[in-house]
Formats: sequence, C-alpha cells, structure tokens
Amino acid sequence: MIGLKRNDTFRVIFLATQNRWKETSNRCQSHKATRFTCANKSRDHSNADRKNIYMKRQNFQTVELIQTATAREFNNLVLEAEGPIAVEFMSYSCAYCQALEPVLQLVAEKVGTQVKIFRVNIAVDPELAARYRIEATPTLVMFLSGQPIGRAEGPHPNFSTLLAAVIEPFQS
Amino acid sequence: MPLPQPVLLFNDECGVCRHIAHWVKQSAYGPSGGTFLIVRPIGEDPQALQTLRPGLNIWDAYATIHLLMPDGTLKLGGEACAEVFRILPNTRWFAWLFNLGLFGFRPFQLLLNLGYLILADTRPLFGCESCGTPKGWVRPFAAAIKWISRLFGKKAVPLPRATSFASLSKPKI
Repeated sequence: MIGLKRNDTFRVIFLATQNRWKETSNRCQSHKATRFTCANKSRDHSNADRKNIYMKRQNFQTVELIQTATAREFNNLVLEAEGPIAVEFMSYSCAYCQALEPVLQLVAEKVGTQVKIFRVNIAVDPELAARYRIEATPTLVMFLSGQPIGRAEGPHPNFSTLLAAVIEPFQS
Repeated sequence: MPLPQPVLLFNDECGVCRHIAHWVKQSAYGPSGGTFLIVRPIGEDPQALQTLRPGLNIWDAYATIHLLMPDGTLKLGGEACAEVFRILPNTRWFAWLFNLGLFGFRPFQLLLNLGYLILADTRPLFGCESCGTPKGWVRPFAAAIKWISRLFGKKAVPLPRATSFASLSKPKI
C-alpha cells in the first residue's frame, strides 16, 4: 500500500514537471494579450489555466523598476536629483509605449542604479510634455543635473538600441 | 470589495472601442432605469484599476478586453464578449449559443474568439487612434481599402506609419 502511494506521488511529480508551463512574454506589440504556450504541447491552454498563469504574473509584476513621476514630484525627483536620469514620456493607452515597456524594464534591470529611470504619463501631466516638447510617445529624455542632454523616440526599439539610447548621452 | 455589477473595461482612446462601448452602455439600461452592466474606460491611473481589482495591470487591461464579474472572476477577450451578450437584454436571446458544446468544443464561442481577434487586429483600419501600426496580415486589406476608396473618390483613414527607433543627437529643447 505504501509502495503504491509512493508510486502515485512519483507519478504526480513526474506529470507536474512534464506539464510545466512556459510563458512566452511577447506581450503588447499593439493590442494582443500575452500568449501562453505549453512547453510540451504546442497548443494554447484552457481559459482556467490561462487565468491562473495570468494571476501569477500579476503578482510577479508588482516589483516596479521604473517609478512614475508626476508634475508635482518632477522637480524633486528629476531636476534637483543628482546623477544620470532617464525619463520616459508615455501614455498607458499608447500601443508603442506598451511595446516599449518590457524592453525598458530589461534596460532598467541592466543599468541598475547607474541610471534612474522614471516614467511621466503625458495624459496626466500634459504641461510636462509641453515643457519638453514631446511630439510623440514614447519619448525618452535623458537628464543630467537637471539639464536634458539627450533624447530618443520611436515605436520599435530593441534592447540594444534602447540601452544605447539611455547610456550614450551620459558617456559623451 | 465585491463589485455590485459586472464592469466592462474599454479603451477610451480607440474610436472603435468607444463606439462599441457606447452601444453596450445604451443596451445595458434596464426597464426600471438601472443598468445591467457598468461600462468604464480604463483611463490612465493604474492605482484606480488596482482598487477595482487587486492585481489588475493597466497594460493588460489595454491589451485585451476585460470584464470583471461580481463574484471576483475575470473574463477576457471572446469570453468577455460572450458574457456581455449574456448580460445585455437585447442579445440575451442568442447568447445560449456560446455555451453549446459539440464534441468537447464550443464552436460558437470559438467563432466569437476568432471574431474578437480579427476585430482587435483590424481596429486601425476603422480609425483606432491608439492601436499602433497594424499587423502584417492587415496591411493588404488596408491597401485594398485605400484603393477602393480612391476609386470612389474618398479618402481612406491614414494608417500610422512605423518609423524606427532613433536616438536624437541634439535635444529639441
């Protein structure tokens, strides 16, 4: 009886490891939800599975590498702060900003504390967008000692171009 | 905090979504003046969404349609559309089709899921301001619409142009 139970336990563990889910994080090129594919089977999950993974991912994403700066905090966080700072002017409804977000998260991870990255929502703070002449989102403005020293914009960045855009103005 | 009614979140920056949301809002009024469904724009405040449902990410809310149910469950995409059809008095009569199972599949639900995905991808053709560059498979249709519009002397909705990401050497400021 004990042997049978142990076998069952092994079988459950084996099945659990075989059916591990692999999340491909190709979220938000324009409007498509995150797709989940199974490591073993090339098919989409049932809605229940998808929801479980979705909720797990929500909990996972609570750690924010990029802080949001409002107009009230902008002087304090960006203009009067020391060290290199990159500010992303964005809007949550902009599909290109959505595409940029995972790449910018990776860049934020890479640069760590060397460059602080903030986000300014131009829909909430249009006066900041007007002050820095933001014509399109997403636009990155790099600040050093309160002065804008570099700028990058465009809808289709990859990790290397974005990393270069964030770091290069501070190196020259 | 449990929701009193189902809440449908829609993208207020998208013209197509606004039209659909307007229709749903009009259809959601009950005979006694109450509503069956709350239709709410996603907005720009991630914290407001968090208070509505803890763990709800604003990027995900913009990525696909979300329906928050009073029992705490969340329906997405085609499933959310089916649930809205079940709730609305005008469409309730045919919504049973989406529950219909055939050999372990729900064919009408699958069709609705497909329809939702097609509509979501083709929104830029119908004047979505915030949907970004249309996907590759939509581009031939966009070209066809432009050509047909030109035949009839009309101007097609201009599609957003995809420029590459660029570092500007000199700040514009």
